[in-house]
Amino acid sequence: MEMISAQQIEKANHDGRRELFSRKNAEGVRPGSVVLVETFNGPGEKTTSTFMGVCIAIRRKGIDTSFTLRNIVMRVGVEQRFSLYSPLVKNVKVLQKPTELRVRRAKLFYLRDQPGKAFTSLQSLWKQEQLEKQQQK
Amino acid sequence: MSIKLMTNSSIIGRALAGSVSRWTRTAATVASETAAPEFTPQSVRTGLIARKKGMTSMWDETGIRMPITVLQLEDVIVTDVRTADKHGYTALQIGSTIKKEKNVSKPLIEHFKKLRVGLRQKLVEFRVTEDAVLPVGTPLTANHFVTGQYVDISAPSIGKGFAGVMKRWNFAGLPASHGVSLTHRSGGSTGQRKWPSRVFKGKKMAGRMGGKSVTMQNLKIVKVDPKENLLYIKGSVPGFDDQFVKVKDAVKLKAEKRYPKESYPPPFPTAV
Repeated sequence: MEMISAQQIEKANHDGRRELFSRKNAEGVRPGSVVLVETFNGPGEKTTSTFMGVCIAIRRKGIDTSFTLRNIVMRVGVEQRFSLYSPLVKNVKVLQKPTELRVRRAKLFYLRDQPGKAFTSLQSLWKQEQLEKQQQK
Repeated sequence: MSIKLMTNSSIIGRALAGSVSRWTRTAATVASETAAPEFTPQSVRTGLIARKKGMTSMWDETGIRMPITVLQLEDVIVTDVRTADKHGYTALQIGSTIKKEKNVSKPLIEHFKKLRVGLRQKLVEFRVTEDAVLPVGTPLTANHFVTGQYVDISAPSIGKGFAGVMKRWNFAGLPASHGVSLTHRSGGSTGQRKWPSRVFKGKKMAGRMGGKSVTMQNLKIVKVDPKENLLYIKGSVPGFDDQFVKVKDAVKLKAEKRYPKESYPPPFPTAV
């Protein structure tokens, strides 16, 4: 069964997602890092939607590995959970690494009760991302 | 004799399958070997014994996630044939998983010696139509089933022991407070009063739950791996891991609906 799981991950790992979420990767996704995810809008479509947020949980279950991102959108807290190896997830990008002092837990569910100061820096990161995208075009 | 057959039905089996069936053809008394039987909508193919290996998940082309159960075939061969004239019905006895001679009782060893097949741990009979009969010793592989076909899977369910009435029959129990004393999970009343002055037979009560044979019907085979003899089934399958499960073609679907159009007719009586 482990062999099957490894085989499946190999097949689904066409753009290096597994390395992004590896525990040994210092540049990878960790609880507290700011992540940007692009997903296809539908099964056959090419149009994408992006969601950016702080990674508050990583659930490691082989092919079913998923992670949750939290952000404050128009003064409403929004959490979205993504299946890492789903074909609908186009790409995953790390925008900011977590600061060593702030994060001392694997699951940051306490952020749900906090006022929202942790998410203010995300707005500037979003603007930066938009600029970079426009420059690329 | 039996030792030679045990090596033949291992991984190299398919290459040596020709020599095995040639040997059984001369020893057995099968009527006609010349014409390959044709698949008709009324034919019933044999089933297989597989071992439940575990569950995982896969995404289909539309991006929908499917839970998958993985079944593995372990040295599955035909150990005996039941014929209408000799036994009164037509069936194939299928055996799975090689067993060592030192772990098997003498009566069983003699039984296998008489059949002239390798020792097998689990034996199951599958009723078939006369055109689907296979010679004794034929190895069965995962290619017997076609990707995209529907199957029925039977296995003993996980035993739950002596289960209470809330788990066994989904009773609601009694309130947690408001004066209820010591009977929060009980079944309450079991009947009326002066008439009928008895409890009806079949009254739902606590008792042993699970461990019975359960059949899940119309499960789809999503992928077949002929190298490792794996079947990927969409959905869940009764039983715990490493359990022997019986896999058969779906009984409730007609032949055209059971198999996908590209692979109709299926390998008959079995693949290669």
